[in-house]
Amino acid sequence: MTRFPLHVAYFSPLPPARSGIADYSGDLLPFLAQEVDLTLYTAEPEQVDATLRRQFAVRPLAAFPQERWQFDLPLYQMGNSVHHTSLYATMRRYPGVVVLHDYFLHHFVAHTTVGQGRYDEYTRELGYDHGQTGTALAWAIRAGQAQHPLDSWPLNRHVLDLNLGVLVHSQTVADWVREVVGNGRPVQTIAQPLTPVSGESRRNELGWPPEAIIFAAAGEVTPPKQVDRALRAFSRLRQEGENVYFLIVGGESAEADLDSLIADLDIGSVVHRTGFVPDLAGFVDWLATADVVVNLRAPTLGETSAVALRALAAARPLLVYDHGWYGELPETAVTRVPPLDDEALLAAMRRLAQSPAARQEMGQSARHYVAGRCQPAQVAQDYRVFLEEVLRALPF
Amino acid sequence: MSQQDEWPPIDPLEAQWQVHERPFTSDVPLVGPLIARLRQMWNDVATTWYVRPLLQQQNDLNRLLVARLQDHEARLIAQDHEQTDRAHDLAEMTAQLAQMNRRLHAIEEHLARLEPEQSKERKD
Repeated sequence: MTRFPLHVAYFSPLPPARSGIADYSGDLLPFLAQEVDLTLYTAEPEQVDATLRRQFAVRPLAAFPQERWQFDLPLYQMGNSVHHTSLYATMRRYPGVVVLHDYFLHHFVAHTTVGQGRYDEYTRELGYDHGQTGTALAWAIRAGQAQHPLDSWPLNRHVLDLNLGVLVHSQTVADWVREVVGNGRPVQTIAQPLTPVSGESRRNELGWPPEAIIFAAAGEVTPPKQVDRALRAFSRLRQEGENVYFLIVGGESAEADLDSLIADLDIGSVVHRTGFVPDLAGFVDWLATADVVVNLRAPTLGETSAVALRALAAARPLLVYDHGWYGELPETAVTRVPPLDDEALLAAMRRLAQSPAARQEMGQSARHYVAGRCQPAQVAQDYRVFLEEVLRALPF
Repeated sequence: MSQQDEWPPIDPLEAQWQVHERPFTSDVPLVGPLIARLRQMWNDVATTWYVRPLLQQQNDLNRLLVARLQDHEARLIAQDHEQTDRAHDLAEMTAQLAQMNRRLHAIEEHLARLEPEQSKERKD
């Protein structure tokens, strides 16, 4: 629509911050810069990765109010973590277009309010989203009579009401957002950009039989990842006589407590735990080592999984629960089972363990899916088209 | 998606505004109920008619204060929504202004390019 290249003020956690959204921006920015003029705003420009600083103007957040007239739109990458604290404050004052990486922002809101001793702000946020029912709950929480509804109240209404356009990563979340903002505001799904990284199998390091079928769970192990259910199903598969092994790639949260589970199931000799893998190349190598990647999540809070996409890009068949974004992945590339259905999970693992042809077919389809949908250049182009649409939708 | 709206949380203010009379009790074995009853009888004679109107007065005031606070709360919530709407509107206007500025700038550049040509035409 516009005859000029768009000037965009870009707000996001940036590498080397240990945040998935910082990595996301690191992947996206070189391609987005082909489509629009970018200036990056961040709380601490001097902390930003040197390569990015060479490539882009990186400005302190505090400078934005004076400089905002230079831009067609501010673009905010918003997620449910403390890395977004300062950009959220700027967004509240100068909204624009938001990319909502997490539909639920309650952890973020609770951490930046109650976590800092500011109950009044938390009460206000709950009141904004839920009226006096919300403030009553905030006071009940404060009195120790109720729990924070972290996984049932998204607390995103403020962000959605403020911004002129909303980008999300799944149709599921787009539908949820439209329920809040109505159809009058631009809302669109946008794929995750993914630059494929080739991985090399590290199977030889494991000392497992060459014909063994390796299942893997990757990413930080937390209770919602349901790795315990995957391990129980795996254990039953072993008891059935299948020649299967299990790889756990990633750090383990304290709540996960896999030690006792693995001991109880007596599967210590057939499970390998890598611990936290600091570099992407190493992580992809471990994904390439697996025959099947088990990527469960329950409950789903509307998130997408970078690990799942990495596994698909590595041509690994993926096993997921059939809900949220996971339910939108193509059936040819993933096996979907009803959430928390242990029998269905076991049956799916059995089928994949027994059928090399199915694994091969799914792997090819997975790679094809990511190559077609997650090309960073295409994603960047979709960004530009959406930003133009937002400007077109302005009530001139 | 699951929502927590189905259960109304109990506002501590709503639950505790009312002051109640307390029954007399005694922990003394065997004769405890008798002691409590005697205390109750003495209270009925000496204080009930004095304390009850005070309790009522306090409860009336508490009810009024709760209602006033809830009213303020509702207004604050409404103001937050209005403030958010204004921030949204301001963002729209900022974006529109930026677009118009850029168009104006382009027109000025275009005119600047035309001027030498027109001067040349006039001279010719």
